[in-house]
Amino acid sequence: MIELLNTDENTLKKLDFKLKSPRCNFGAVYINSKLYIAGGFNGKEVTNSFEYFDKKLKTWNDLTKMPYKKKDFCLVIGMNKNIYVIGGTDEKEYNNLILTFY
Amino acid sequence: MFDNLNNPYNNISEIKLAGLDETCNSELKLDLNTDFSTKNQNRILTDINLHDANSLILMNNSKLLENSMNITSNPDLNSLYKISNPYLLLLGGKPDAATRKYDFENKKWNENKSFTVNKFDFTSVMYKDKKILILGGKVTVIKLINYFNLINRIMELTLQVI
Repeated sequence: MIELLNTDENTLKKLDFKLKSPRCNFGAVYINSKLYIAGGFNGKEVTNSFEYFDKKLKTWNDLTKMPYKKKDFCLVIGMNKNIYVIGGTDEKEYNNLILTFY
Repeated sequence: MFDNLNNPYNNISEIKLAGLDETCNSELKLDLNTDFSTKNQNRILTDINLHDANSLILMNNSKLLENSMNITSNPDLNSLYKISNPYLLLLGGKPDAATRKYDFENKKWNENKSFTVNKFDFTSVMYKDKKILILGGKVTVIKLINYFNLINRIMELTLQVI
């Protein structure tokens, strides 16, 4: 489920598009009209998925999977527009890795 | 660009806050004491450093504004935003899913009754100015109410879900 919070109007509304699959504890960033989603827990296992939602085309597209399954990490955009995956866990141990997507 | 973190999972929450800023005009650095510029009003990393899991220290260009502001609930800090009015907005999370605003003038947290983000472990992303996408997450059953239906003489179960 995806909701949009408008802090000006103080409203919360459900949007008509969904995540590709249900999940929690994942990372997300929005840049250049694209919403990038990575990893997380899907109710059964930690995933290494990496995908984006194209706002203009309204489609989800798969990207190359992360080399590690991760949840509870940080997904951030650097000033060079790279996406960084920082820290996280595979449910067995926390790690100190920083991954970069170009 | 980055070396690996010094410690596993070190200061992850504050780094996550950095992710709110798409137009970041300086290198992201994994350091509590880093002085970041404040050109983007939505940017929260400049002003807030996480002190521990349950409190904040507000900083503005390294000048201390508030000392260890306590968050009485909702320690789910991945859902903390600075809105440009300015106020802090704390969304959902454990344990009560309430939405709270921190007013800088009154220096108080107030609960927002207009809406509630009824889940936790979700991900939120600043989308355009003052709009936030709330993605995925979990809901949990917090209260089971048993009552006896006198008409049908059966025990009914009602779930209250937050």
